[in-house]
Amino acid sequence: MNKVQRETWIALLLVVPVWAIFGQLPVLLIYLEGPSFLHLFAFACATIIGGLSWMLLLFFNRKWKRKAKIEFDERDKLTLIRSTLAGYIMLWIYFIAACIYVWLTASPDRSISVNLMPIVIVEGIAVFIFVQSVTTLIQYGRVGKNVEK
Amino acid sequence: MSKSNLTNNIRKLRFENDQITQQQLADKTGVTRQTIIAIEAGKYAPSLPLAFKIARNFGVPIETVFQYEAEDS
Repeated sequence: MNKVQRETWIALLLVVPVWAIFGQLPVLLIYLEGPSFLHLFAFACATIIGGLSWMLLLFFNRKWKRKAKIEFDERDKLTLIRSTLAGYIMLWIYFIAACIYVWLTASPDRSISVNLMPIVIVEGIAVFIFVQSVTTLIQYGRVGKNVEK
Repeated sequence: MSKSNLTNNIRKLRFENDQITQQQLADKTGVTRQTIIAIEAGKYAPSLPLAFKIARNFGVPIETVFQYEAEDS
């Protein structure tokens, strides 16, 4: 497993859940109990933690530093370009689907809940990271064949 | 529509050149071991500079390492 694969697994197992779950909890609380300073502060904290969760990658990279001279090459670069493109396309489809959902479910007076905006944006970030991570791992495929011990 | 195939003799050349390992070849050519594994298995077509680096590492022309066959289907 190389550096990119390690980072991808961390993003998939830690960063995506942080965005998807902890970013939504304050929104759910605001929806159920109404807005308050504490809920808004919790939402701000959750999004800041989600944004800083990339710091986990630095921590794990230091911890699992290997002796290999080269950790990143042209194949890794190509893989990341393709997976980022896939993530971007999926994000775009997600936003279109979210818009259609909002149009279809809007109340008779054509108003929507203010809670939808943070949900759509935060989940969009989670969708992007999830698709990027999965497509990265798919491109690397199964490691094991043609490997010399 | 044409279908391209890129084959290589890297595995054979490695054994003919002091049986160097995939890791040693990777270090000499400036890529990761996973990339050498993928190239050997034919799962990744290297860039032209990398293909030249690999060929020069073995001291042979690039055509000796990589063969390109275009099939019309």
